[in-house]
Amino acid sequence: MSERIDDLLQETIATGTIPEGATETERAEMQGLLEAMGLVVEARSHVGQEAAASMPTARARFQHHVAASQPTRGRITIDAISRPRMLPWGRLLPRGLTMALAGSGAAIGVLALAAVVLWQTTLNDPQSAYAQVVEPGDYVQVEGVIEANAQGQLSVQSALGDLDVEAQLATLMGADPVRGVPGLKPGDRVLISGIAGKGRELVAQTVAVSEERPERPPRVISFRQLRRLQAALEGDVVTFTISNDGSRGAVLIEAEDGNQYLVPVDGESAARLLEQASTALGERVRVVEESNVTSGAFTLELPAEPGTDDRLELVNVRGEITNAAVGPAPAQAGVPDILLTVQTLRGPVDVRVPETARSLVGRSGLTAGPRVLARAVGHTVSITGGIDAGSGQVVADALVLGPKVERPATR
Amino acid sequence: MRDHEVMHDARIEGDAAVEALARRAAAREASAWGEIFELHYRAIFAFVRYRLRGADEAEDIAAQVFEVAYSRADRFDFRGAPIQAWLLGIARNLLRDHAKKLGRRGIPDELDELNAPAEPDAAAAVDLRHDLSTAMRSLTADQQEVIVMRFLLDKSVVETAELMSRSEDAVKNLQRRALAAMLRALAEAGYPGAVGT
Repeated sequence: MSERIDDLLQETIATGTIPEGATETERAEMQGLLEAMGLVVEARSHVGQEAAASMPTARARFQHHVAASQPTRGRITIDAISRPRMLPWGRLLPRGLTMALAGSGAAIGVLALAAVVLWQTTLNDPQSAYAQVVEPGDYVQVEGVIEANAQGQLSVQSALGDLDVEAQLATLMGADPVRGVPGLKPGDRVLISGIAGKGRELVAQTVAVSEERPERPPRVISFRQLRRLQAALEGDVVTFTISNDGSRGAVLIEAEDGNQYLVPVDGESAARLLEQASTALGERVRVVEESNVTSGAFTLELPAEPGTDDRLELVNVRGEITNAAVGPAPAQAGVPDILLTVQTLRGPVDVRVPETARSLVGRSGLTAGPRVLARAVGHTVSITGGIDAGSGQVVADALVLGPKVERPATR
Repeated sequence: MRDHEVMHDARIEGDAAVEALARRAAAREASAWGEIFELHYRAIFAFVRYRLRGADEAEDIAAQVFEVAYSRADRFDFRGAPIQAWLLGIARNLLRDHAKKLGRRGIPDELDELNAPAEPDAAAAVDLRHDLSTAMRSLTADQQEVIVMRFLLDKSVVETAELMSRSEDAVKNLQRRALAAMLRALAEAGYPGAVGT
């Protein structure tokens, strides 16, 4: 009997019609089962859309995993940055020489030479430095100078090369709130806190602005062997990134010798830097060891206290999370913000956490995930962000969760 | 990975291109893994989606599947199982581990709203997906799997039987019991389209 019903159902699914031989009872059962099946099929396109939407981030994560798992030999793991140093024979090759020599025995040597030049040119290129460090979805802090502002679409020259910054919805700090983002002008020095998108696009969450001209323009980038130098490498953070899942990061540091070095760091170091300094830029760090040989990530030693010199800063809120709630539904379709209450030394502070903010589990012992803030009440937190000019509310860009606050047991 | 093993897999999948892909994957060639990701990510995402609480978790688990697969490339025996079956096996294990972790931690549901769809959508469709998620979670693991294979991934009975290591008759029986259980769960949730049997 069971087999008959199973076969009837399969035939019904395959043909779209209930077989004529089915009894009334069987027909009724088939109808119900088809309804259930129809509901699942109906959801198929939605799952497809979700899969397609999630694919870029998942792809970037997987690519990073594959790259990090490749054997170290032959892989570019060192990205020291200094003034460009072209090999002299790079300039000696007259245009067309390669073609002229093609077919001769010397062509092999020239092609090899050209390959070396090309390789070095790639490494010397800040654009490739960006590609090696920043992946879509990463949280990024970078400083730069505005080159152009087309209705909130900023072109920014930074140490990682030219960036396209979408700033229309960003929280502004240090700028004329009336003029807002359109008031930003070429030459303004900006600190951008945001999320990396496709290509070289950065979606700014907060833009801190100073109208002062920078002391020096961002440097052009070249590369050196970092491993040989890492023992003595110490400098100020110029650019900071941390991945969406908090597993890896990178810092661009400016050392005493005037060179800038791009250092891949482990996720724990990156989270600690953000937790301690909030505005990672300007912090003095030391590259102390390579913590993970296979991934090529280094560990950072941080200063005992965050730096206090005059520099662009983002808002920092530290304390204990005493409440986490889902905010009101947004006017347009979208995910509601999370509203946190943080007990600081100066009293409770309300913080709005938009969907785009990065929540890093740090040393909290919590497991990363979309619902981590629901479990974070009672934990310490260090929040980086800006202040919404309209509401005066702190808007989080990135959060680093800390351990749960221990209280003496009450009798 | 020995050559004859790779060749055997190619016969099973019936495609010479798969043979080459498998060979490159076994050698951990990054481009081969890029192709595998493009070919199978959507299916793996769909496979895990309704057994998790939201798209973010599904993305996380689906991404982990490929990371684990890549890490174990040298241990993968291509004989007797297509690449997707291997990936689905990894997904099964990750889902099981994930469920255990959640169970141990007693994850609260207060922030379920976070998993609401981001795009504008008809309320009925949102209700359906929410009810469908709830209904799916009331099924056994095998029932969930057959529903996903047959109606989300659009696998045939033969393909489902192979991927689940069951007979075709067992798959037909399982799909009927799964649909009946789902119908009951949807009716209990008050979904208007489900009348129960």
